[in-house]
Amino acid sequence: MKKRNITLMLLFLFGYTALAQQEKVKKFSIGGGLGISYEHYGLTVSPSGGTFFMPRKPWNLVRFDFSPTMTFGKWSVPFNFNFSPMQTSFVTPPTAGKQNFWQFLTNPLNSFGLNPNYKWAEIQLGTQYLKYSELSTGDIGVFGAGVDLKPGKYRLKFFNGVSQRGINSSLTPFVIGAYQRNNWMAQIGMEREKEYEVSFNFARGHDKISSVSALPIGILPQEGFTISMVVNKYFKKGWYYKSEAAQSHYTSNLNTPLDSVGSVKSFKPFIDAHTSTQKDYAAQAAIGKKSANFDIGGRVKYLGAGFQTLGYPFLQPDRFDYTVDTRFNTWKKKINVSASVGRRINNLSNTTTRAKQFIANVNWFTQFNDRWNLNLNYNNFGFQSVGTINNPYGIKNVANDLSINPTYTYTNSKSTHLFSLNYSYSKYDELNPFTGNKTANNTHTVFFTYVPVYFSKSINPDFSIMYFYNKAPLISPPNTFFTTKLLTFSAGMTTPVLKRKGNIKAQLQYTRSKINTFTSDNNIIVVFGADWKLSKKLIWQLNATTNFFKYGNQLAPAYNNPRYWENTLRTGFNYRFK
Amino acid sequence: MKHPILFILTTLLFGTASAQVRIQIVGVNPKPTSRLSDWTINKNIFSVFATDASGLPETRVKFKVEIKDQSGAVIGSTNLATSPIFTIKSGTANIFSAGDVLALPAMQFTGSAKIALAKTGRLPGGNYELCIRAVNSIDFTPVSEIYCINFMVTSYQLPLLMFPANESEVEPVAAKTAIIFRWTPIVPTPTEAISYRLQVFEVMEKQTPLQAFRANQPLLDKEIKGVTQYVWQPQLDFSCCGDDDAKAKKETKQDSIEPDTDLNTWMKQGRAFIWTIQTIDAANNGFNNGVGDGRSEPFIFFVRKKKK
Repeated sequence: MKKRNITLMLLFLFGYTALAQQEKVKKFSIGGGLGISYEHYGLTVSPSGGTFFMPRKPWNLVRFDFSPTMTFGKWSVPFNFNFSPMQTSFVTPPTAGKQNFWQFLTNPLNSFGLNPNYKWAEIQLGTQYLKYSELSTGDIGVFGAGVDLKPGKYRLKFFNGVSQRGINSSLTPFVIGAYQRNNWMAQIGMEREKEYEVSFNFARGHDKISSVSALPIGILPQEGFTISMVVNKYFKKGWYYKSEAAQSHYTSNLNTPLDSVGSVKSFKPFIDAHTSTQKDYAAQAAIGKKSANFDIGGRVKYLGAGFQTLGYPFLQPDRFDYTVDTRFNTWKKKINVSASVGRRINNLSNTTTRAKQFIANVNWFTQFNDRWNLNLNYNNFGFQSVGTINNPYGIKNVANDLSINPTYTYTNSKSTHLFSLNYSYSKYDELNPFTGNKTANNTHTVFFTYVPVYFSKSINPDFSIMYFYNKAPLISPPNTFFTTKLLTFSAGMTTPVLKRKGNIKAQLQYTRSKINTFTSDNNIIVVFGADWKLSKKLIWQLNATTNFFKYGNQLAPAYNNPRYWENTLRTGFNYRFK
Repeated sequence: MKHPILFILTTLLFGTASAQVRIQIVGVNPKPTSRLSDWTINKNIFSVFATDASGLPETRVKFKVEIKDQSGAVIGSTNLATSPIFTIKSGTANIFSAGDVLALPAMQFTGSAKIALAKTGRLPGGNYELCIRAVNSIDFTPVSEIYCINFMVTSYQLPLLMFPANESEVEPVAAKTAIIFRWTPIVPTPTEAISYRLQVFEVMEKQTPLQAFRANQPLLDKEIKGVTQYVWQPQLDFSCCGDDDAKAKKETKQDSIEPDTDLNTWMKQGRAFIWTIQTIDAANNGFNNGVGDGRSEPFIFFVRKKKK
């Protein structure tokens, strides 16, 4: 803690002194903006107490945004303060009562970032989302302090902070709790933009057991250290080569005893081996060529079964995948084609339950003339695992999706009329792992959009209609299906108002849905939005949505005339300094 | 036998020694977690019940543990020189947990099990036999019979998300009506009843997807049983996300009427969502796969006009 405070103080002092020196000789300017937004959510369920629809947003949410960029001569100081006094977290635990100031600062909902920079030096303070590389760290927000230095071709980065706030567990109200997770990351390397990059990355995360007085329920304190090496090279004529190799040490339970005789050795001074420590590797490489009319590339990625980096906490390991993709333009750039094909092998570490995936995609767009264009899209996704005692036939899913989208645009001197039709067919075959029978799940989607635009009129309407049909087999009883039919009509308009200082928009949407032989559900959504330029720099915005849903008779248990109203009102002010 | 007297003496000695401590393994979980370090904290793996039959007030012992794979080969055994000493008291029930007896720092593994444990911390999936015997804490001579149990470990792979694919785009007109979510089942199929919890989070402006995942309330939180698909009717305002060609043409003929704000820039980019599947076990907890809370690696998708 002491060490961190000293680091912070030094960084502040360094930044302040340098800023003060520059201020004497250079002009001050400010850009960026600030804003405040408020969102109210309301839900009325009838009959009262019905549990068929639950609130899906916080009742009230206020968010503040303070993101100016102050410039002092060659110094630039961008702020990124985006925060809310509320707690809305779900995946990470909220505190049982009011959050203290430290918990407020480190709440993942909030960002308090400040990045003063001068020429090649940047000081990073507060909340930062830093991506060092694909296999070391880059996914999580960390509150702390660090630097990003780029003198010439050299690269030196370091950041130290907290990615997870410590939260005491509680039974009433039930709070699972969390250990405070301290992270540091570093990068040292060389880079010439569009030429090459070589870097070593280090990322460490450590759960601080003493950060809580009531231990988290069912959560173990963890620790991880990852080291990686990145080599990227860009050649002439658009050719490139990229690669990264990484090694991770990961301790799943810091309460387990230290292990000096096991096969995983400590990696001092970064991590001590416990009996729950594992070590594994990951690597990826890509090679390809990019140009204006033609791209081609191939990628391979291997993640060992025990590869675990706290910089990407949700990364799914134990897989090997490779992909080849391409893009090209032809016929005077009127045809654009992009395609990819790939294969992935999961659960590499266990041959008895190894699973394979196949993914292919092609998108073909043709602009025949000013009026007609056609887009075709095809996706194939296959998944197959070998059989086991529990599921002798294994698991096999194959999805084939085809989409056809012609668009016609008619334009004259007064108006433009856009007609767009889209038809999609999705066939999803599944093998029943217990019986070996194949079932087909088919989806048809058709939608049509019409958008007339009159150049001399201020109102811009749009209309759409969509039909959706899905027929999915049920596991039991056999040969029974779950069918869903949806039909949606939608109309909207936008228009400038107040001498073009503002805009209003409105939309009406009606959906009729039918499940199996139950009576239909009915849904109406009304949207009204407005924005008004109060001054050159200040804008007010409003968006109100009402959603009314009336169920048919499919609910179990049955309710008397079940329905709900959902209202969202969002308003805010945005101010821009320039 | 050249030395029958020595044989008789040895037999008598070990016969007596074997009778010193009686052990029994109780509360055996036939399908324990594959992560061995969890055995030290998990109380429902097995317990060793030991009684002192030596007549002495107490006997100091070590436990010799052997783990054999389905071919009968020993893949791990206790290094008695470093394993802990336990005191078996006379006239009382002496109960030791799996973690105590296994004493992981003193376990020595060999072959592929050693590699797998170093890399993953887990025993490879398969059937195993675990045998325990109490030995004298000084000279390691056996003081109990061998007691063995069988168990099976399974390595699971959590569901992989399929559709909407990662960083894919969903047409706003289609999204107004329905968005289909698909994922692969957990592999292999567990014997216990499991369900899938589909969660969709909206990424608000100036948020990163993972920040939204960690900090926001989910827009959709639905438990699904027996199938690996869900048709979501979002009932949300996607009028922001059209950005259609015709209106773009108008903007080229007129001055842009929209104020140039970060918010509008975001809205033009459409609305972003992050989704995942959490596998739920029979006790309604996140499926314990050794790491995490049963949540699969999340995917991001955008509701906006597709780029052509």
